[in-house]
Amino acid sequence: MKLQVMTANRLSDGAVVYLDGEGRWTERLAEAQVTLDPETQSALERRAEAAVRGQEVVGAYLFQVDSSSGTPEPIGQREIIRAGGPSAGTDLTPSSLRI
Amino acid sequence: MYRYDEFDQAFVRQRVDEFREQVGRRLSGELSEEEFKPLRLMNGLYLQLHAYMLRVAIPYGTLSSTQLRKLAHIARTYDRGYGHFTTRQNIQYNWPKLADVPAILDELAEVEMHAIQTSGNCIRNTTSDPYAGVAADEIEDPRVYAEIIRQWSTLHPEFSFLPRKFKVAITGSPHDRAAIKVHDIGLRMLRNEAGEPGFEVVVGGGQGRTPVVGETIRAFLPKNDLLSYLEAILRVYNLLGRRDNLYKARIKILVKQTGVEEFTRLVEEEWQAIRQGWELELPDSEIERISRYFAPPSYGEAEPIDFGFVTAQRKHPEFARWARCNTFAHRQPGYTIAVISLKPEGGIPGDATAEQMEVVADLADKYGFGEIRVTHEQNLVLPDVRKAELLAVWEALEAAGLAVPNLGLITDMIACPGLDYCNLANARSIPVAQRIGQRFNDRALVEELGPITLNISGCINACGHHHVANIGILGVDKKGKEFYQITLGGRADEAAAIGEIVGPAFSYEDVVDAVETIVTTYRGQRQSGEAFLDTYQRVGIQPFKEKLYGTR
Amino acid sequence: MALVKHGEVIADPWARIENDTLPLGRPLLLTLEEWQRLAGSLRHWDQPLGLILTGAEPLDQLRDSLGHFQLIALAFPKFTDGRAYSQARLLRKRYGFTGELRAIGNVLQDQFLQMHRCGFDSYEVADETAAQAWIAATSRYLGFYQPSERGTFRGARAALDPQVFVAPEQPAAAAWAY
Repeated sequence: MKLQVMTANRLSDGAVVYLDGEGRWTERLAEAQVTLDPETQSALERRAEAAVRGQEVVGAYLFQVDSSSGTPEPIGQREIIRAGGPSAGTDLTPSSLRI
Repeated sequence: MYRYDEFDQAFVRQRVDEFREQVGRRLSGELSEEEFKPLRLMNGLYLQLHAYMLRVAIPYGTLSSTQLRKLAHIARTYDRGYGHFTTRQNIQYNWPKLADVPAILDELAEVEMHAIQTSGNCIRNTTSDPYAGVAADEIEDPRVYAEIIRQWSTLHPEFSFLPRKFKVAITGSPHDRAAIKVHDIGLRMLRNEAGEPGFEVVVGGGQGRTPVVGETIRAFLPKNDLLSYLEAILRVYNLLGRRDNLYKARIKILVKQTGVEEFTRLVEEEWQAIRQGWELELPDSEIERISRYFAPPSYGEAEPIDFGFVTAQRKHPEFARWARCNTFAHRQPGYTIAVISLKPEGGIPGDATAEQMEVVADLADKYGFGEIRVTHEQNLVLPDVRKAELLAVWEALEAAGLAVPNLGLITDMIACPGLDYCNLANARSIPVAQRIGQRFNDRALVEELGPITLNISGCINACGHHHVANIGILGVDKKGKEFYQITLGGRADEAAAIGEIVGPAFSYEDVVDAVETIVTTYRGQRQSGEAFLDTYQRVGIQPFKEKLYGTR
Repeated sequence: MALVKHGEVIADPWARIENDTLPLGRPLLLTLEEWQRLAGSLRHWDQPLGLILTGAEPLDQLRDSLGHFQLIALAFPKFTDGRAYSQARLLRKRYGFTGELRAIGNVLQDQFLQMHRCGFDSYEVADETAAQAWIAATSRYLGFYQPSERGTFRGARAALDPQVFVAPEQPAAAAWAY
């Protein structure tokens, strides 16, 4: 069995969001609902589909996480970067390197 | 440079209105994402990993200072204070909100810019030589024809749903600085036996999953036939290009599968048929009308030898290095083409902050004719600097952190946004570029290594042009981990070649060491005066393999 | 399904062969396969004939048959499949087809303008609101950069711009002026 989290991008600004236990979309992976249970996963999929139809989010899918540290952590590099933001970017450049 | 007349202005405004209405229908739910996606892509709007991304066209890489200031204003107002100059003479904003995009397009229209056809399966922004109009070795200014192609291809009713994207590049010089042989159509200006200028037509080049150097299907095309010939190629492709497999849909696959002779026959047959009845002849009057926009500025009195310039180089060794590395021969005596590298050691290739854009716009006004060029190598160009004023330009650039003396050197890397931003990427590009920049941070050593192109792509789509780099780096995903495959010996110029894979991929941790090993191997093997590519062509891939993987 | 023509929803007079039965007394729309099979027996058919093309047919081989048809329906299997745009222009320009050109299949309002400019006259769409969208789509732009089957061409604006790009004929000027 795999621990799964539901994610998507928000329609209005494309931000990475996750479904929490209350059926709300949150930008924080730590707040996402993590589940092993196939029925709960199906329920997440149904909720996500409704949110896609309701112009709330785009491109929803389940992905695998590791919860052994107590908080969900993505396994693949792509989800690590989606969760944490770009690992490098001009907006993140230390001010010493800015003009 | 080209200026919109009232027709162009009205047209771009109408396009913004159309897109504003489409965004409204998406937000109201009238359009599904599946229906909206091709519409937004046709206006350069992607949905990336963390946000939307808007790609704005910089047609054939020419900008005015007013336009560059507007790009800075957009970065500050609608984004996070910076923009990313791409590998195809566009600029990308990484963080716009969907509802803001029509307003951004309105702002762009104010300065005669747009995002039309910067994505989608249509004819994309036509790219050209960034030194067009000022290069000493030029036959004719290719921007005249790039602008004519821009107009002809904009909202072309027949070619907006091609099997796949379609890229055209054009160069006006024998030395190709526009990578025309790795485009769907490459046009190279040349003269026929009678001395008339025209085009060599190269078709079916491209990078991506199946890298191909294009084939010449017509050795000489008269200028007046440019549009009818392009239309013939596009029609053959639109009707016969594969639509069953995304990876086999580019024109290069059609050319391969049909055979270049048969493909050429089909195009020539279609062209003859078009010429018999359609109104696509490009008259001299129109070429002259567009040419007037690109007339050279009045350069004034020439200064044959500027002793101030010579003295300044003696006094400031860093200025001298920058002047050696980052300038290019201008057609006008006393002037030079100054390239502003956007590749500071440890920086992000192609990124510029709003403040940096404004510094460059001010310099273009003060020390030029208010014009800036954007290169597909992700640098900016001041095309008309008096040699006598080059020191002042350098000082201003130095103060803004923009005087990096590395044009064409190993740290002048092309890099796509990679997995830090891009939805298609398999691995990061930017941090690899940053680490290579940090490793090669000795400017004297970098200059001593001589010309080396090093390009990085975060996936096989090859936006980072890795196939045509002397040292190419391709990011791949192995079970969720980033690995990097290295190719050697590629080049993008008139002798375009696809690089050869050197061996198994390197991990994220090891890839920079591998680059250093390649460089060390080259230094050990090279003979006096040899550039990296000369040495590689002489000794072959074997010595590099041995140093990288041991003698097995 | 609704049929939009000239910005109005109209009843579709055209009928297909169903259960091997010809729709007597009505205009008949045929697939290419049906036409090739039945051409001989339709010699005395007294109603208009129409032909459905799907994008892959080499038009030059149909050249001699085109005179039989008052309508040609060009299919968009997916709205992203753009072959029918080229077919429409070839039918109009090269093969001189003057009958009705109809867009069928995955026909969406955001492509109306391109279809119109390539010479289409009628559109089989999912719902009737598309008629209004057709009017909006075909009246938004005042002109275009390419000469095409319909729509004002930049080069024709001699009054605005004395340096005329080319002096095109305006074959479809009347059709544009809806």
